[in-house]
Amino acid sequence: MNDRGLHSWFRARMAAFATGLLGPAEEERFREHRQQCAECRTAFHAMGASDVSAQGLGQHLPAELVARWSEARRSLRGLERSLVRNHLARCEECRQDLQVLGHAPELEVNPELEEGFEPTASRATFERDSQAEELDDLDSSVDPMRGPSAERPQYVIRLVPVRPRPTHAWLRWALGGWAAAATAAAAVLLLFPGVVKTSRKQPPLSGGPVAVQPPTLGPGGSIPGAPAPAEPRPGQQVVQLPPPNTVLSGGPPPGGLGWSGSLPMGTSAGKLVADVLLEPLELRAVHPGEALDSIPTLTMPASTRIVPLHLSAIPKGRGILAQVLSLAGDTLQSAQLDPIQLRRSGTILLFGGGVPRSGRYILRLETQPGPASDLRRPETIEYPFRLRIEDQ
Amino acid sequence: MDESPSVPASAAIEIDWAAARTFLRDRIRGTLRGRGDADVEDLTQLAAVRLLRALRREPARSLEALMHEISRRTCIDFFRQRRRTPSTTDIVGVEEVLSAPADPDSDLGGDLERLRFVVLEFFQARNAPCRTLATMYFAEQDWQTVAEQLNRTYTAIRKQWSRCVQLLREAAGASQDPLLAWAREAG
Repeated sequence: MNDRGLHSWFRARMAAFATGLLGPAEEERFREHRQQCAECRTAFHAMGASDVSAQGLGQHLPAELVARWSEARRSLRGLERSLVRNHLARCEECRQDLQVLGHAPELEVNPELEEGFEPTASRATFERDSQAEELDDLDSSVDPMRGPSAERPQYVIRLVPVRPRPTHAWLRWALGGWAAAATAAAAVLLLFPGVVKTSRKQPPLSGGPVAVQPPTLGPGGSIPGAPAPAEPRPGQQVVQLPPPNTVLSGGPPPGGLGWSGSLPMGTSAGKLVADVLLEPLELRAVHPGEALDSIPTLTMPASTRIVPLHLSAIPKGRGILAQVLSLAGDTLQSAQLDPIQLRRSGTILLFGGGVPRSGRYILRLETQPGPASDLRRPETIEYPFRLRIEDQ
Repeated sequence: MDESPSVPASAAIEIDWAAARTFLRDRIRGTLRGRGDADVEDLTQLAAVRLLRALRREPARSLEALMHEISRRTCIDFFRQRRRTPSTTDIVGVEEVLSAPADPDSDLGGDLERLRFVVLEFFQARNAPCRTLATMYFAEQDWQTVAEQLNRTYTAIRKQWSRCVQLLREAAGASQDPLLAWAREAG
């Protein structure tokens, strides 16, 4: 195979590789080329970053397909076309998506595009087809998301919510308190600004449990620097913080709980009325040697105590050490996270016991070396972000 | 499958979609200064779908903030996709690949998300264990982890998944779906 053929071969298999569909020999060949060709490697990483950010795990019609439904219904072919049709027949959510965009919630049978048929007309030919043009006209007349706004009526759509998905399990946990956390599928890093400060040059924590040092609780479980417990205002939640000096295990302990904890004698968990950010701050992964165009900024009131961070990528490996670093490189906090929970939810929660400080931080995730038989190299990903506290 | 039963109408959220669309389009147009209307309209559609799905997952505390964030992220994805392939290269063959005519289906969105959908949907009716494996792999991206979760060996899981993929390859062989071209070609 010449160079051109090899690049084409690689590009045609990027999605199949990421979906686990290549056989061992193809997989090895794919990895080999990815290592050797910087251009193809860049293309592969870009595909992953973009598609992962869409949070698509294949449960529903891809958002881009729905957004371009006018083209999709005329050009989807073969197996994919029949699968889309089957899915629409039973998925109320996807039908609703299409209806809101002004489309009929179905995919018609077109013998020329169905499975096993060799298409003779190119898309360009198809687009010149008069019937297709008529369909286009029809689309623009009924599609509330297109066409001149002056002619568009005020659309008020009743949107039917569904139950939360696993990726939003952090919300259940945040609102459900510490007890619920034992079974929630969320990964958590406890951040208490200014409480822990160690040098970044210290050897990374690995293997055994990691002690996390929350603030000392005052009488009655109150937290220094935090608002006194009170009746929550609208939009606030009563949050039960994890017990102080909680010990986080390197993985789920026997019994399937997400965390193990120990409560020192004479202490108790603290309760706090706090603002909880409902929308996660999206953090972009930066691999060593890369730079970000812009750093995500989170502006929030000082009363906010729980900040969900959604990560664009998670390093692959058995154990993940998470650290929050100051810009100077000091480790403000570190914790061993459960990689399975973290990959499933893609979300880390930052709990603030005291008033957090404005500034730039770096969340650093580092996989731990596996057994000798595991040939993967430890991977490190950093997520810079800026915290801007109102009134500071 | 995540398809959920209908919930009572009282739980529905009312959104003025004309206003929402205008908001999204204005934000996207502001970010994509200098781009054509076609790009702006396409991205407005995409942002609208993402907004729908986000609202379906969780009610928004601030709809405006949510729309702002979705439009921002949609634009970021747009720029990232445009940057996927560097414009200059001295590697023989890459330019030819990059300048080759686009696949007719390439405008329909990310191949990865589409292929994930095809895999799960294909196994939905045909083979439940394969679907379970696919779902777990998509979430974990690591067969070793999947094997541990299922309390099986890595080798056994890979063999089972290989048989699953063979089913898909056989179906793809009878189909002209460009998304599955990799499955019809010899490695």
